[in-house]
Amino acid sequence: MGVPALFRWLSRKYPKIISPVIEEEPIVVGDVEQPVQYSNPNPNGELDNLYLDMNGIVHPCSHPENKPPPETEAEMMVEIFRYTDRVLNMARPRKLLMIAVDGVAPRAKMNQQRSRRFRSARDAALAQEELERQIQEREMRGEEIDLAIKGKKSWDSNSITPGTPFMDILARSLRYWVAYKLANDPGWASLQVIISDATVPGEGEHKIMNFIRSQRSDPEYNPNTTHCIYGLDADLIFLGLATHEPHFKVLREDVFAKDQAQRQLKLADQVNMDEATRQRLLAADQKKPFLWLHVSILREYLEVELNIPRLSFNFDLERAIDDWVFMCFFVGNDFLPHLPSLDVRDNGIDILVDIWKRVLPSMKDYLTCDGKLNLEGVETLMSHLAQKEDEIFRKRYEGERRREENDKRRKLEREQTNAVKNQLLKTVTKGKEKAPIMPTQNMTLTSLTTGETAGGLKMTNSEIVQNINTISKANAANKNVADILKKALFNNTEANGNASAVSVVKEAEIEEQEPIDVSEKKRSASAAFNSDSEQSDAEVIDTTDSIRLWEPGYKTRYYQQKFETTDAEEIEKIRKDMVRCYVEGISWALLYYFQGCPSWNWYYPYHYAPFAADFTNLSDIKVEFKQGTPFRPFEQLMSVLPAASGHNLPEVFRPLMSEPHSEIIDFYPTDFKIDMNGAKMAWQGICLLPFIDETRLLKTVREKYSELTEYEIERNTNRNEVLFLGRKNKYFDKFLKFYETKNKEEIYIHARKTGLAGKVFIMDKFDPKGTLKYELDVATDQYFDISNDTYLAMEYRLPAKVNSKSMLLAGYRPHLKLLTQQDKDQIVYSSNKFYRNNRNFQARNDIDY
Amino acid sequence: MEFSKVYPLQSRAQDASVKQPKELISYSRDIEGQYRVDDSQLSYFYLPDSQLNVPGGIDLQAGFKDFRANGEDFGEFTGLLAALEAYERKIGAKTPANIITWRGLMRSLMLLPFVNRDRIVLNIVVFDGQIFIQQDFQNAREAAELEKLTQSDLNKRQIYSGYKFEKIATLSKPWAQCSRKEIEQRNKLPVNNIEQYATVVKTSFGKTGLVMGAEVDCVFDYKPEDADPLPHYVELKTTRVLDSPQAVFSFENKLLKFWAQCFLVGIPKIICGFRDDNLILRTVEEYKTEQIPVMIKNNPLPNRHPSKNKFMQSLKFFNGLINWINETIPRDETKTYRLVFDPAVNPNYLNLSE
Ligand SMILES: [Mg+2]
Repeated sequence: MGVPALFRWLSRKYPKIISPVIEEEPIVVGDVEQPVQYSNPNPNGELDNLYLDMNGIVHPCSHPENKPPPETEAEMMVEIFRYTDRVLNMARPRKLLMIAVDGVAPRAKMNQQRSRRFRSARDAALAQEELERQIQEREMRGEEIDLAIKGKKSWDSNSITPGTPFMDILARSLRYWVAYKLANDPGWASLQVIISDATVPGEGEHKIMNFIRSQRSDPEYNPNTTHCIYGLDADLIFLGLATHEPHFKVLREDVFAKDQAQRQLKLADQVNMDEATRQRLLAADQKKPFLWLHVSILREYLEVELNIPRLSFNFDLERAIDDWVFMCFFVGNDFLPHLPSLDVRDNGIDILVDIWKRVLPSMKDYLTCDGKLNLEGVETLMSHLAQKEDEIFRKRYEGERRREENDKRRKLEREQTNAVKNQLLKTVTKGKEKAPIMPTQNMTLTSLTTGETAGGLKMTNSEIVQNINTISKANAANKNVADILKKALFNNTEANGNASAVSVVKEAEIEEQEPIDVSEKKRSASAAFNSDSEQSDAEVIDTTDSIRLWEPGYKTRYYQQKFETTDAEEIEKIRKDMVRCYVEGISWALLYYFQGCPSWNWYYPYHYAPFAADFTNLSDIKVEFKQGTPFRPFEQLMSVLPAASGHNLPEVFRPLMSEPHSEIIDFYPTDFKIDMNGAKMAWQGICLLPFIDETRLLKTVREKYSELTEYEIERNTNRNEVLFLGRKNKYFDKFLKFYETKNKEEIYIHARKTGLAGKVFIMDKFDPKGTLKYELDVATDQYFDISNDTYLAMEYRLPAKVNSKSMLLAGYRPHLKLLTQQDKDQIVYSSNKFYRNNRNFQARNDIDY
Repeated sequence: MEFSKVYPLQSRAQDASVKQPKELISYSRDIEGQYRVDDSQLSYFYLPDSQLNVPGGIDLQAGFKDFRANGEDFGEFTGLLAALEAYERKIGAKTPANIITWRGLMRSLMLLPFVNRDRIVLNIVVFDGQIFIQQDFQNAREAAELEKLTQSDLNKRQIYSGYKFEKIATLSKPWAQCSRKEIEQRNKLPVNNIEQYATVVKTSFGKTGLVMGAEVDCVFDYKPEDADPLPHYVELKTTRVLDSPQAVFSFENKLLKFWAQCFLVGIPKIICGFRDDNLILRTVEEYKTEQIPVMIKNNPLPNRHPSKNKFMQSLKFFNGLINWINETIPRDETKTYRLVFDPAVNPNYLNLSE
């Protein structure tokens, strides 16, 4: 869904939905490290099925944000193995593992992919310039620069798109690793693994959704199956809810720990990095904590939150949850720009839910039903939001003004502080420049006479002054002050890492007092082009000040400026069409979530969203989708990659992106406007890229197909999932016999035996007597060639798609309820106070996982 | 000399051995009353909380006027025998059983020591070495007519509420194949007791092999293709809410009946809808057949008529009786025998005669 602040917002509002992952450490006997035993009982509780939204592993392993990246793609693979292994040891699925890599996406998603990739290519170019400038500077000072660093180019993360050679290496590596684990880890012996690599169309998380829905439709499906999905996208939570599988959890890294602790590394940082720092960063990365997010407990919260006593129809929690999910993605999703008045950081979700609760008793039905929108209901919802729109804009403006003033004040204070530092703190030897000082804050936890803090750490007055902010922070978070201070003094990185999301509510209180705002650092780090970069090809505009959403008449100004016309008639036409397309968009997205992709070709053809007040006469709009077919991998690459990433494509296509006479050269602008649209972060701006004309693109690309090599044709083919089995799987002997007798029969298996349903048959290319080679060019004593008789690979097809219904299944046993009366009261009577001022929080959202 | 023997209700077999029941075959009766050897009338349990969340509750007498009741059915063998024939053709051998009968008749025999209000008249014939036990139609018809005369409108509605509960708690297809509308509008469907699905089960008590036909309300989850389906079946019941110790005791007696009914054919689960005096469904509870004896044993309330041993006692009584019948009935195909229990004549003995 790509709602940056959403994960944080949720875990603040519903604190009990998260809990830390208990991670077993390898035991060291003598010098030998005994690896964690997968087959042992899971300290986190047992799990049936684990789904990996694999892009959430591939991205951080191939271009980590806060540690040096692997040198080669082969090393990236080994890094992916290591990371996946760690995730698997936390989750330990007993029945099924599904590995889903993003395949070609629906067109609706490609606009966003395109804008991210164009931006990423541009960021990379800027970073490279910065690196070269630094090298030059240091050489001028007479320093000798390592040739390896000098020639280093940052790896193009745009390679993580279906159809690239990198994705092919990834697919082969994943097959190898799964075979390796099935053959060698006793804990995997009866496991079944589905690999859905980039050759299988669809976004990873949605392929997982399709799978779960298909399993639910099998009559032998166990309604108490426990599910866990690993991934970094915030919308996994909504997808989890949307399955209506009540035993569901999400596994992910603790982003809060990361936010606070680790600065994003730039390519240039590596020039200066010594080996000790490198090792320290790598070690810190290995210990990054993980979290569970329990959808089951979120359901408990929502049961309270969404309860409405007097309805004209039955209260059905499942339906209410669907409406809630709908309202959440109204506030932000990957397929549509959000309404100007709805922003997760302005608590857009709360605003909508409040309205929903007020209007539902007067409505005939819920807003949504199994993925279908009730447009009459949507219109009611929007008309109520429209009444608040003016006020929302005004309040937002006032809030921003206040923040700006605070920033100014802080800046002033910081300058004063620096003066103090220089004058008074010469006795403190370590951590000087990192320790923040805020003379205006009080220090409740320290005894002024002895300088002793509650944690028992003795400090001089000057040290107290120096660390006053840390003390206040500890005070607020109710943590062990001594601990935090020690860390702050001796190891700044870890001190912050200590503050994880598990105590996130407390964190929220801290945030507002923090003198050095994390987001501000990021702003200067990643938004280089915003101010001081002349090399930038992009023109950054922000019409916020001229539109003045906070003053009457904003609507006209908005349309006039965004669409660069003053012709009232034309504006009216655009406005109407935009509303129609937007309604199609929310209908598309809802179906995508609850039933699977309704159309591969539909997309929202505007860069902006209408106002809530524009949503009138919705019943006139007929929403229908043509299913269509997915693009081929190269067609998608040509749709989303900039010319700078052309090396990922077969050579025959590259001139199409760069030659002036190319028929589609207009799709690959080297400069494009970015509309900040009121946002602060560079990556929050809207890239005003031209939309791809599908017909023209496909025609031009397909004309080149005859020139492709065999390997390229391979890479340009859409395929199906494959199934891998361990030797102790109940189907192993049966399927092995299929190979021995060359039996090509397609058999349908039901869930009763192993929990898996679907169609299975033998694979042309698999030879149970052959071997699977370890192909990666990374020296290791861990990996080796694998004999194919130690595991099995089969073709696999999902059970046929049926209409999905948002209902619990018969035989479902509820978990023990976790919420206390107090928790429930907090939801009912909360005044939204602790997440009011959420706009300071900026999590990156420029990678598609 | 005329054949006539008695069997005392006090009698208990030493041997209480029972074989795990197995399904031989199943069959259906459609709305026209036609039998067919298939699963077309098999139902699937589905009753989520959201369906119970109706403001005012679910009315179990809704649609009472449109109830389509089955005419006379006192346990004719048509469907059962057709199914057995199909089974024998499939396995290419005769059904291996000493006695072929209905589960319902066996239940009333089993509970005779404890529940004995009504007169029971069973006809017994021998064919090809196997004993067939059937209800005496004449006696059954008289009893039914008498009951009709004394039945109040409320009684009729209570009986209807049981069928209604079956309708709203089940689907005619697996959940995934039903549309939302089919699921949500079930309460509006007309109710009948003509359509039914039945199983033919083989089991044995001591040395006596028994084949029984039994109506099955629904499967809880699914009917497996290559394994015994009995563990998947569910018996649906409705009863009045338990709002007094008195109600609890009378429910215990009901549980004894439910238990016998399910135990005989190996149905592991009973789902009970509790309704109030206005026939509004209040709650739904699930009971495991094998746990009912334990549950009642552990009931802390003092009971005037402890039912603690009733389970084992019934079982031992039935075991003795069924083996006695098997041993006592001469294999003479020309004769019809009668097994009679008449509390007005003698409440302590069963009488078996020609
Ligand atoms: Mg994804």
